[in-house]
Amino acid sequence: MTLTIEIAPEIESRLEREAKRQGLEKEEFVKIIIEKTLLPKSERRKNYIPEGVTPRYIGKAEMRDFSGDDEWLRENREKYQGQYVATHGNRLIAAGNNFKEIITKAREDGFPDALVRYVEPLDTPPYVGGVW
Amino acid sequence: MNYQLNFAVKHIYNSPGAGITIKTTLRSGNIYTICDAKVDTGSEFCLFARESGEKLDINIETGFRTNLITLSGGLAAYGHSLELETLGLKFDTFVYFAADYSLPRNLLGRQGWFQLVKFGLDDYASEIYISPNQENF
Repeated sequence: MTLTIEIAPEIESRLEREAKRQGLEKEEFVKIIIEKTLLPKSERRKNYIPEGVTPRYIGKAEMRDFSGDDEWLRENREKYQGQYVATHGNRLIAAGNNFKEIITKAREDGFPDALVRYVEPLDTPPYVGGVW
Repeated sequence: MNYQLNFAVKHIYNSPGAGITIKTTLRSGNIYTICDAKVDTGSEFCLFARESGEKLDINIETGFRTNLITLSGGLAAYGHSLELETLGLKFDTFVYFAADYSLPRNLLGRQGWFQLVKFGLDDYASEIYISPNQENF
């Protein structure tokens, strides 16, 4: 079946951009959208990964030992609760309320592999998780 | 009947704070950042703080937008391809960054992470067992 349709220029440019981003011809991209939309409801499964993107294992990773970072946090959690901290081993590199500034400071100080995390307040209610 | 699984990596988690937390490196090109992330089978995908994406020089709004729901409400997020490293395993994957700032927790969910690994958990002993979910590794 061959179908000719008219769409607004703005939609067309978005279509072209998204198809290009996914490495597809725009006709191919539209075909995928139509096929997915018209699947019987029972066969639809929400896919949060775009067509053409295939997550995969690519090899072993060297990661440093973080036991010192955790030890530092256990000893200092109360003092830094509610703040972002950057640590490297049992050494504090930076702390504050602005996440981006903490990452920047760690990099500027020569610690691009600092662990940057939010120190949850001690009275934070239990986390129950889940995003869908 | 008994079943046996074999894993490449055993990890003992004892991070301070709530949940099962593992160290996660996000890498885009030569830039990387290391953060904590919660292992969360209830999450459909991986979600990270917007700030982490921005520090990787990612233009967040150019990503694959989706609206999410959580137990406490909704939020918008943008998906991007990048490299993610956890427990000594490196993946070329797709994760989301929150549209708003100050997401307090990063999540490792099903699409983009769990589906790439074989995962075993002994929470009583604080042990994670993990292997890449590909037969050739």
